[in-house]
Amino acid sequence: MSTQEFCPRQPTEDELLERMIRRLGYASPAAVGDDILRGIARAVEQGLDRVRVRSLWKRTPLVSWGTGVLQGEGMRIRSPKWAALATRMQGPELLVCFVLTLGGELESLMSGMQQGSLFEAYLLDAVGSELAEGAAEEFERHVSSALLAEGLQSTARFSPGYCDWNLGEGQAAIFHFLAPESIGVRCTPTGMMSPRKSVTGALVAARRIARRFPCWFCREEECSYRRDGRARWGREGSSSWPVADGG
Amino acid sequence: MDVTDSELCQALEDAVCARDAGAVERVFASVDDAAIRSEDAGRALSNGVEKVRLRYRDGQVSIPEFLLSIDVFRQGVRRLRAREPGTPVVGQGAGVVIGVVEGDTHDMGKNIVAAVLEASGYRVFDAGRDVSRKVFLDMLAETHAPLLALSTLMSAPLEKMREIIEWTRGLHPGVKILVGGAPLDERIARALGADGYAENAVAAPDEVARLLGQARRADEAIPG
Repeated sequence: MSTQEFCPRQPTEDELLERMIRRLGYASPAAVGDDILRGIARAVEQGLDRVRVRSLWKRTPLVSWGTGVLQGEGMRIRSPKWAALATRMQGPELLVCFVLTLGGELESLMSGMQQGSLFEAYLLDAVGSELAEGAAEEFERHVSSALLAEGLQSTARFSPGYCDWNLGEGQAAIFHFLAPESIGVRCTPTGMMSPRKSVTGALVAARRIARRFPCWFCREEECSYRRDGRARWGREGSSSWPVADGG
Repeated sequence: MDVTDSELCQALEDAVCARDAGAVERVFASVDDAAIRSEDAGRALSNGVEKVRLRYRDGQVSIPEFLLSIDVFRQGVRRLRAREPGTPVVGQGAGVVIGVVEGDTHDMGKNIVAAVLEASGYRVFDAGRDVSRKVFLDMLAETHAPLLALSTLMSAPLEKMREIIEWTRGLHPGVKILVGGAPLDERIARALGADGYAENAVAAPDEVARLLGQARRADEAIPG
């Protein structure tokens, strides 16, 4: 199947403001000081003005999933835990990979800001992370419902650098598979993407999936990204799934 | 205006605590330059940051509030440096070389830690981001800083971090090494060979003080 584009819906200013307030650990807008609220609102406006989300995705039949590797046609994921999850599915069929990016404008603005105001740069960075995570979330919903229409269930999305999927190796595989240079995304040998607010990931589709992620059989109790109700999630109070650049 | 140096300093400290950049400007506008000593004013601004840092540690203020206080501190320091170029204002304590290791350009956290350490009185030498081993070692040789602070937000550069730590141990054995960043915790920091780990910017000054205290004790223990 050929590479496809997906354009997530941009949140409104009010929606993003509310999400940012939660992301920063405040219980409600009333708990935020006026000066901080003004700063968040400014960052939201600047972020929405500069972000242009672009994404690419492609699916491939899942050829094999033994020996710690999920093997598609032209795409290979070496992750013993996700491969072990596939062995617990009924009829694993597809591997879906994606790349999405917010573009480079936000980053340029942010790096200029750090000399002047750490407060403003931090908020803008957080807006970028929130938008990237939101876009990845929406992509996952979009693909999952399309697959469901075909009678397939899907796992949660997972990204290189998380769980046991090596960052450098995973990025190299996804970049070879999707060639996201066409939407302006590049990757270094260490796996760092440019623009930095970009997300890569994959998900597996099968006829029946009882568990959407491998945490339920994983013994790493202290894992920061555990997704089984005991998750500690991000280290700065984020309640969202982390983006590939670490937020 | 009939105000004392200590009243002006208190006003600067309060301005940092209240995240009020306008108040800093009003203090400087209200008196002529001779009425307030730069050293005292710098200390007052630092005291403000320290108070807010402790409030953050106790859960009384949020990260954005803390950062806004740091912005006010930095504005005050810029004002002091502008009126007396070349005069030490803050950050004249022990030296800290800080940077993001090679392979990573995420520097927001590093910049926040650098600002907090400067506000806490350390002399910060910022190596920047995506920094090679050679640059870190050269900076340690040039500055004679007793502490190296390394960060990364990604897992891939951890191997580079380990190399930098090994080489620092070999060439600058007295230097203490602090690490921080998303893929790290105390266990990983120890495995990499670091002396200390700071979970966030607010914890960094305490950890730096602990490590430098250890270094001083080690020096004192050397006979002769």
